[in-house]
Formats: sequence, structure tokens, C-alpha cells
Amino acid sequence: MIQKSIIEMKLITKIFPGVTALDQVSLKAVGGEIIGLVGVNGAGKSTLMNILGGVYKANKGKILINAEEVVFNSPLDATLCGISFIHQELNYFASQSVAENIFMSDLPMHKKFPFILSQADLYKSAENILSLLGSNIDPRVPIEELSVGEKQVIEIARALAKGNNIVIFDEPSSSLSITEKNKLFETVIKLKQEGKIIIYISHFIEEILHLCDRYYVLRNGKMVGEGNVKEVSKNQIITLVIGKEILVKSKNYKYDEKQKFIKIKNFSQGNKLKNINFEINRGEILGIWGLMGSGRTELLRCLLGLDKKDSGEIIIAENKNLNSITPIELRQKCGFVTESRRIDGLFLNESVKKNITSANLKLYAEGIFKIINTNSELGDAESFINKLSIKTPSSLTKIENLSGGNQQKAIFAKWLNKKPQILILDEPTRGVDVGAKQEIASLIMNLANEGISVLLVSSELEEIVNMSDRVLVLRDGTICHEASGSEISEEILMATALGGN
Amino acid sequence: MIKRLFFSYGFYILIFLLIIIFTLISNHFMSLSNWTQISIASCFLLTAAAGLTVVLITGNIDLSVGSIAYIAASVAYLSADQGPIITILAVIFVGAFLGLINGFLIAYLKMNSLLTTLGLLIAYRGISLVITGGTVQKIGEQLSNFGNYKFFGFFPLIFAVSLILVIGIQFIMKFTRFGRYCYAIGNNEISANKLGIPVKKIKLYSFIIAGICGALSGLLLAMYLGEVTTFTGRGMEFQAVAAIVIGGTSLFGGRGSIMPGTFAGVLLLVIINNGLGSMGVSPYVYPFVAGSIIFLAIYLDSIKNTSSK
Repeated sequence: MIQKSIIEMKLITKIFPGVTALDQVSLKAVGGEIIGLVGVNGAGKSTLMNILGGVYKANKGKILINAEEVVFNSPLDATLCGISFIHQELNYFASQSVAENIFMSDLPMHKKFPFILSQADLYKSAENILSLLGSNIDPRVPIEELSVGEKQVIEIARALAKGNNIVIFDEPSSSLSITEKNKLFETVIKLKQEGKIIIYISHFIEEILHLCDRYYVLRNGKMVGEGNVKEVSKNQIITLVIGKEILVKSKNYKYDEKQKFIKIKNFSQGNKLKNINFEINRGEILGIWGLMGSGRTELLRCLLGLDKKDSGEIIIAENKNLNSITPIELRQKCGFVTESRRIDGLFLNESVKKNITSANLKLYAEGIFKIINTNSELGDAESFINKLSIKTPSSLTKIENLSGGNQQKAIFAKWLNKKPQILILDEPTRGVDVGAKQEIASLIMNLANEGISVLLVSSELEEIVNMSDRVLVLRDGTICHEASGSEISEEILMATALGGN
Repeated sequence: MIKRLFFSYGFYILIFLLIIIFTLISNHFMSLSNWTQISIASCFLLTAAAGLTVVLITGNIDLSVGSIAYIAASVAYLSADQGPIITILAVIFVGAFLGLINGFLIAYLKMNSLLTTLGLLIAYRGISLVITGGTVQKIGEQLSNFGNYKFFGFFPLIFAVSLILVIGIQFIMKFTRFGRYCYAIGNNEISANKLGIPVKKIKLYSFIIAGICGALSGLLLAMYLGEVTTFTGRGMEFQAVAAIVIGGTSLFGGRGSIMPGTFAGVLLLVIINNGLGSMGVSPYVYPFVAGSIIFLAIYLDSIKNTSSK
């Protein structure tokens, strides 16, 4: 019998400025078992695993491997202790062969000639490791020719090649197809049979139930539940994940049936989106909710033509006619607040004024030479600064000097300047402080009252619940539930997104 | 499939077609003496491009190779009285030293390789102008004789030297750990760093190789001409980059080869010039034709890169 390895994290506490990310969290795993780690985004799963992976240092608590205390100062230290981290985003060397990718940090050298690699050894050991994982990938092909799932197998093979005993999977299945998922599960079970310790992070409860032996549930930085998977039901885990303190807020916004405005028909894209249908009314705030990997972002990108769709039609009611429009035409009619404003929302080096007028410059371009009328530009910008109370020393201040909330308001001003009929909001309050959050929320509700249709995507459940008139719940690329009225509660939305009833 | 074949082998097909066309049109093109001429014309560019390919594979660029060639040739003039061995060693040393400076600035001080070597291109050329006084200078007679020596009366010694270098560097890139690390860094520098590959050191070595090759290229040219002219290495960096990219090495790093890649790229450029010459086309047309082909190659490179993502 092989000596089973044991890893223990004892009373780990991690404090970030202002937040206790982890509060006395303990975890124990033994070789040959698969541990499922569950929790919503921000529950502390990643922080805990980053401590185990050597990325962060814990403020309190210790890590024991085989009853010996270890201290990690860098990810390399963790690797040397046999910990491998399989990230969602894979690290690989595109043009190089599968075998090279597996052994890159430890290429086998020729026994007789100095400096020369042994190709034969390289491919042979790669084949051995891959067959151990039950894979028949040819180690000679360049890794870029493999599918995402196969690339993940290579990453796992790399962990095996280093002889690592502890393998952490961080949401490994979110970018995989169903067949690839099954393959992954087989591989993980192979690893388990090899006696490795496996920690499997996922917010798909079904996967945890299917694959894992024991589970740990994190909520708000605390370990709120653990036990054997066999002794627990799906709904019990869901309750643990969400917790009981659910705030039900009364909605004072009245939804009344107005005329239909836009109809989305049969949107599909590969296996990310399957046959999505919905309608938005004038003046309605339609929330789109789902976990990471459920197809939220893909849906928006497809609607706006940023990614290619396989099928789908957008129909818009204009002047009492129903017109079918292309995603690009939709983009011209709408405002799109993107989820990362610093990357694709702002011209950081430009003034507040230029940012506000940038989406509708043709309004200010005069004469045959299209010279910008800076006076009317300035006037419009200042009126928006007043209207949305954007706090800035002047309209000519560089926008990067503003706070996140004020930058976000300037983005709203930019789109409102275009007088859109539709606003598409992807994480509209990400990275802004509480005060600005509320201002933006009431701004959005006011805009809806003025008749603008709003498509709201957010990973913050509270925001969706408080603002939406209707909510579409996405799971695995389909709309699994449509909630309206009293059904819009954190509890129901989370449960349906997780796959409960 | 056909598309891939075309991307991978397109320029081999092009070389083949050009050779056929030139042979049919000009009866001088296929003669032995003309191919000796082609080999002489290609060996200078080939030598410089071989080392530069290594730098491109790591995802950087070295625009100073042409100026390093000029400095090396000037060193050959300075050491004209010391005999060939001293000259050759001095040239290699100077190339390695200048490559070390480039590599140190780029790998360790994290300066942008394009801008750094663009600046050094001008600075190094200035040093050579000071050494040679901006005029034509003679180099040692013995070296000059070597430069015009041909095995069996048709195979130039200087071409043999460049061929050995090309094969040697290709061997290093394909069969040693250093070579694999170069490709890995070009593919994904962040991952390479995480795996504990000595990224800085490998980059430094790649610039030293490019420096030595650049210097040898200048020496070969000086040996062939018997003198150092102010034209030595001028514009060579751009021709070399063009030949490398035509040969299938990516400007973004991570993929490419010296043999057959860069070798074929150089051959293509030289054959175009030579073939147009033997057809009696005005020399003023050459840059246009060569430029068009360079454009085509770089365009294909960018298509290849965007479609694989």
C-alpha cells in the first residue's frame, strides 16, 4: 500500500485592505479523493486556492503537507511542494509540440552528446504520460491544433510529469463542450486512482455531486459546510451556497405592459448559446442573470455582432413597422456600457468633454470639411456633467483622473448623447463605490421611465433583483427560467441558475 | 487544407516558378557562373539573417545588424596588418560585444527592442564612420584573397562559410534546449517565466548570436570586395527582416526556421534581383518587385496569425 499524502490548511485568515476575504478557514484532503470546493463569486474560493498555490500569503493559519508545515513565498515554491494549479486560462506554447509543452521545464537531454536533446525520450515519456491519462493525443502535433479540452489534458499531463501530488482545478469545465467535459471527468478520476489529491473548484453543483467525494462550501469568506457528497442533496448544497440571510426588497417600480419593442429570435452560437428567444418592451429593464460560463457575455457579444452567431434574428418595431435588423444596425441604435471601462469604455488620455461627445461626433462636424464645432461640443458636455452630476474639476480634465463612479457616469453621458432607444449594460456598477452605485442605479431607472429599453447584465445578484422588471436566467447557454414580479428574488434566481427547481 | 498548404509552402512554389520563368526567358540564368554569382550575392544577407532569425523567434527584433556589419568591416580594416586570424577573432569579439550591449538593454533593462536597436543602428554606423573616416579603406590582402577563393573553381568560400553558419544555427534551434527555450519565449513569455526558463539569459544569448552573425556578414563582404565601403551593411537589416519573414518566421515570435525558412527567403530576394538582371530589366525596377514580394509575405504572415487565433 502506498503512503497516502495528506494536505491540511488550518485556520487560514486572509485580510485584504478593508475586507476579510477568509476567516479561519480549514480544509483537509487525502490522496485518492476528490474535494469539491463550492461557493459563489467572491465567496473566497480563489483566495483560498491562491494561498495554497503560493500566489498570496495568509495573514494567519498554516499549511501542512504530510503533517509538515510548509511556507510558500512564490508560486514556484508551491510547485516544488508538488502543487499544480490548472487555471481556467491555459498556459501553453502555441507552435510547439505537445511533448515539448509537457516537458518544457525539464527537457530530457541526450545521454551521449552534450547540449543535445533526446527527441526519442521526449516523445516516449510524453506518450507514457498521455496513455496514463487515457488519452491518445499524438505528442508530435503542435499544441495549437488541439481543442480546448485536449489542451487542458496537456496541462494536466504537465502536472503529472512534474510528479505533482496535489492538483487544483479552477472552474475547469466552463469552456468545455459536453463530450469534452466527460473526457475531463474521466481524466480526473484517473488522477484519483493514481492516488493524487484533487481539489475541484466549481459553481456547477451537478458536477460536484457527480465527481467529488467530499465537498466544502465557502460563503463570505467562511467555511459554512463540509461533508460527504453521498450524504447530501443538491438543494441542501444550494441552500448552503446562498445562505439564509436573503434580503427581499420591495419593488416600488411598477411594471406595466407597454408596446413590444425588440424581439430576439433563435440566437445560437456553437454550444455557448442555444436557441435564445426573448422580447424587450419600451421602458423596460430586462435583467439577464447567470453564473460565469452560462452564456451571459456571449449573448451580448452575439447580439451586437462582436462575435459571429450561427443563427438568430433581431426584429425591431419602428414607425409601426416590424423590421429585421443586423447586429451592426442594432449597435448604431443602442448604447453599450462595457464591463471593463478602462479597456474598451474610455479614451483614458482624453478630456471628459471629448469622451462624452465621442459617440456622436457627427453632431458637431460642420461644413464640407467636417470641422468640429468645439463650442457646441463643450456646451453639451457641460450640460451632461450637470445633469448626471459628474464630479470633475472641469470638462477639460483628463478622464483618467476621475474616480471610477464618475468615469462610469461619463460613459453613460457618452451614450445618452447619442439619444439611444436601447441601452445595453454589462456590469454597469463594477468597480464603483457604494454611493455612485446608487446614483447609477437610479439613473438607469429614470432612463427606463423615460422610455429607453434597458438590457442589464450583472454578476451582482442584488443589482439584478433591485432593478429588473423581468429577469432571464441563463444556464448552459439556454434561458432556463424567466422571472417576473415576486419571483425576482435572490433565492429563486440563484437556485435556478445553479440548476435547482 | 489547400489554404494551409499554400500558406506553408507558398513561397517555395514561388521560387520554383521564378526559376522556371527566368530560365525560359534568359539563356544565361541557368549557367554555372550565374549560380556562383547568386551564391556570392546571397551569402552576406544569409549570414546576417541567420542570426537575426533567432532574435525574431524569441519575439524581439534587432535592427542594428547592418551597422554591426559595418563596424566589423571597419575592425577588419583596423587590424589589416595583424594577419587574418587576429582579424577574424577581433570581428567575432566585436560582434559578440555589440550583441551583448543590445541584449543587455533589451533583456535586462526591459527596453523595447525595436526602438533600442533603431537608435543603435544609427549610433553604431557613426562609430564606423569615425573609424574609417567615411571613406573606402583596404583590408588585409590575405583575407581579400580568401574572399575570392572558390572551391573547384565555382563554389565560393564565403558562401560555404555562410552555409555552415546557417546549418549550425538551425541545428542549435532544433536540437538543443536553448533552441526550444527560444521558441517557448516567443510563444508565451509569461508562461516561460513561470516555468522557470531563464528568459533574460536566453534573450541575451539570442542577441549575441545575431551580433556575431552580423559582424561575420560584414567581414565576408569586406573580404569579397577587399575593402570597406560606407555602403557596408546599409539597409541590410530591413532586407534581412524581409527575407526572414518571407521564409515563414513570424514577426510575433514563436515560429519559424533558418533552414529551410530564412535560407529560402534570402534566395528568393537574390534570385529576383539576379533574374531581372539577366532578363535585361532596368535595375530601377528591382526595388518595386522586391518590395511587392516583401509586402505579400508580411501580409500572409498577418493573415496566418489572425486566423490561428
